[in-house]
Amino acid sequence: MIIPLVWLKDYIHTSKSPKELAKAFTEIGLMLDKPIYGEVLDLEHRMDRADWLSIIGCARDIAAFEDLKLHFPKLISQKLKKTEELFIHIKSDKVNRFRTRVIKDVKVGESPKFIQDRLAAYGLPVINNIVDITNYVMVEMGQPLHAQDIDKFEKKEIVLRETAENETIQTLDSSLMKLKEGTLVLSENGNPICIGGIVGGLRTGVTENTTNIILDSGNYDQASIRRTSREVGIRNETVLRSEKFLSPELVDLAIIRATDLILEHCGGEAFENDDFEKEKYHPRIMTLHKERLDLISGENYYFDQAEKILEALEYEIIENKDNKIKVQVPFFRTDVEVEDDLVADVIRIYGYSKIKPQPINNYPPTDITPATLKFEAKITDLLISSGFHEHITDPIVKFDGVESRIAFLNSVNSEKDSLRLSIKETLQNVLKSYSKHGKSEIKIFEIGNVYSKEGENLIEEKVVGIMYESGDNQKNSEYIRRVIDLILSNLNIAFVLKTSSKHISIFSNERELGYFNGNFAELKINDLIKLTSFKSYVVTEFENLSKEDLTFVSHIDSQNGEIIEYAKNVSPLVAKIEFLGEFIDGSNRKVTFRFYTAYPNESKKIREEIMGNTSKRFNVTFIS
Amino acid sequence: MDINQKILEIRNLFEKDVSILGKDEIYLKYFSKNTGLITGLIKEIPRLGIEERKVWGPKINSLSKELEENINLIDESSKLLIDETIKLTKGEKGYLHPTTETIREMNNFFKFYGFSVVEGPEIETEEYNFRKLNLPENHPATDLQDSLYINPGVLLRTHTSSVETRVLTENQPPIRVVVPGKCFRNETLTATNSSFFYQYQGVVVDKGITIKNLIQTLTDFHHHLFGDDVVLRFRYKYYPEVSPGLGTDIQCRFCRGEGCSVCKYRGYIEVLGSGMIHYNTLKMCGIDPEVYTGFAFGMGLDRLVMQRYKIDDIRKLYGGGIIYK
Repeated sequence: MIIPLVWLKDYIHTSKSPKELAKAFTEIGLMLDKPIYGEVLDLEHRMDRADWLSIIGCARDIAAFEDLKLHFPKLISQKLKKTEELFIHIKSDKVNRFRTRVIKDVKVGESPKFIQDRLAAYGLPVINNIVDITNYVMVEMGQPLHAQDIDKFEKKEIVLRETAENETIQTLDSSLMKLKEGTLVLSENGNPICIGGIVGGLRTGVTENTTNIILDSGNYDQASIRRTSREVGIRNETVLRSEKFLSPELVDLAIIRATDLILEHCGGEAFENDDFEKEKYHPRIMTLHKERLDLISGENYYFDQAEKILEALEYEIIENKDNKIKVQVPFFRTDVEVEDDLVADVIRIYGYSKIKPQPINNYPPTDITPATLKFEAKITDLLISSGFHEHITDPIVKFDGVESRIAFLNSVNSEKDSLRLSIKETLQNVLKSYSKHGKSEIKIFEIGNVYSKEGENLIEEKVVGIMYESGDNQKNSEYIRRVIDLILSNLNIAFVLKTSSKHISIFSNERELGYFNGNFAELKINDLIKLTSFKSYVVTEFENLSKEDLTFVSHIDSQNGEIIEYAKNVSPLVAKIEFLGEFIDGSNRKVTFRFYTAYPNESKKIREEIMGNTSKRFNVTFIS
Repeated sequence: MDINQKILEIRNLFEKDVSILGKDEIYLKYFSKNTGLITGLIKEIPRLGIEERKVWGPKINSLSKELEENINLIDESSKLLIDETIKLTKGEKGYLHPTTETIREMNNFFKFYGFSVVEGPEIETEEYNFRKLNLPENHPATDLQDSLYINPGVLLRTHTSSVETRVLTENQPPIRVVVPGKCFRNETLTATNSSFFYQYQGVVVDKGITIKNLIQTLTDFHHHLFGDDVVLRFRYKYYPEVSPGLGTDIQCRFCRGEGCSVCKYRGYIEVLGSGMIHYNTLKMCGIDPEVYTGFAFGMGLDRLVMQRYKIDDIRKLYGGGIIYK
């Protein structure tokens, strides 16, 4: 919100410097947003406080904070004679309030200097006295208004309705505009003359020849304003206000104030015209309890100031007794929902800079950090200590038509409209950067989610993706294979590998916990957690193990790991098993492994058991 | 003194030194005027008795001659030289992503204050992402255009506050958690805005939690992050999920609050949004707001990370544009 100090000082009398005022505004919720140029403050506006979209609203709060009197402009034309110059028909439920007045015999000309000065300081163009007054009142009170030339109406009516297909409007500030179906417009004799709450039309606009005007001020469905504003690409001072939660009651303040100024500076005679109100306004009554204020603030002295503060903010005090203040919430405070909002107002105006910090005294609760997070850190540390760099990449990718990929309904960026199925898709971008920097051996990883869908089911799953790139494919896959061994042996997870056409899958306990292929491997974190178990690596006594080697002829390549894994579990007397190597002998592929046992006398029996069971199960032949 | 033993020791030592030390070093070690080992032995000779002198004198002399000859034979070029003044290159250790490093540092602080670290789903429902945060339908902050929707009512979480509502719904107080996490918005990419970013959220709910506790926690946290000399500013700021709300800024270190181009002439840099958890939020999450109060804070992590690691563009941070030395 832009606050020209010359305008602010119409309502509060202060000798504070722009810098001091900016500091005060910042503390109460209107942060200085831009450098101060001369006597104008540009303050950040938060969307809840619709009343802060007016100079008077900002003045009210700063007056309460600085303990100053607020000089509210006198409202004169509260009630007027009624005319039925123009009929108003409301044919849309997007209209909450629409009040009109007619002013006859006005003289259109230049605005008085004080209005011109203030509009210029605010940054609005000066046009003519009628238009300037509607703009002036909009900025002063925060409620948009709109004046039209009655004599340009073909029919004496205004219909508020939603557009059909292919309707157009000639706006004040641009050429012919096509409107989407369902746009809220003011229309006359079947044609749109104004986009409600957004912009006026050229046809009924006020010019220097205008003598009779209709003044309207409306309150519309905020979501609809936001949508239409985006559709027509207009974000002006009117939209900025209409799209916020303005009170329908504010319409009265604006239309009376504008009438007063027009009568004073443009002459003429004013009449009430139709006033539509969707729902009757009921003031809200709320109670502030000392107990609650003490509880949130942590102090017991705020309550003494509460009545004064609330009154300064124009809450009407109905009753103050038994440590309870009953108030009527001012109509313009559409943000006030719960008692804590009254608490907030009291603490805020008392001053945030006066809050005294205090440590939490309660006992800390039980640690609920999930095991996954600690586990993730363990894997991260393991990889870091093995020379891998951690990276984090944006999981949003371009949709490629893959059925299981999750796509967005509404992305603004066509290059980024779906989610990754594998970390590889996004992690490989990092590879390019390393190559660009001339790195030849690249070791990177990322822990993050991958996303997929199965029918209606949306699945997000945390995985660790590991990449090793040396430029040599053989070396890459050997290294990746070794990293998998490193991780899984550290986690004490026994596993077997199964080759498929896509990649090599890693299985443990019938569960597929990941895969690898070329320079990349991906493991599912949740499966790793389920499978990991404690393993003591401490040796206290000398173990005299005897060993024996076995060789078998394999038929299918991808089975060998499984065979060795199986052999390990054939006899409980096998202490460990080691893969020694494989070699090609003519057309045969021979695989040799070694088993260890602490029972040398049983060695022969174990050997026979392994050979017997394994050859039966996998149909392989052992060589003696 | 057992001269025999001494001679043996020197001979053994010399053999080792020959393979390690340079020619000059070895000469100094054995023959320097004051500290040389052989010089020392020779100096002992006059102190011996006459008989001993006759026996040991020649032995010491021949040792001296032998070593001197051996020193002359040393071939400098064949020796492996170690210059300890040269810095060695770094080892094989990898590095954490700057964001992870920063998150770990923050977690360490909060763990010390009794906070748990939690996480939640990235694919969220409107209920947890908006409704329970006191954001009704049609609220400007819930504009469909700003979020990435997967199905009607299902979207990528737009803030870590969605994890707050999950934690509050699934647990009963006392609750003290922090949530580092990925968030998503429907944005066009620029150097400072990304559709993918990180937030760090903190939540405390217990009996008797006040706005004073919030300010103390934030003060301690900022001192931990930026050092004890950081100047903080607390001001009222509206967020729908809190009331009263609280904005936290740190004074610009370049201009000390006067206003400069670094802080965009505000004198302060906004770091964090917070407040007392909204009455309605607690209620909607199944916690009695008449019995329990609490606070929550949330901050964007990326700007902080980029500042610390001197990264100028968020697209580099998460788009694969950074590598480690």
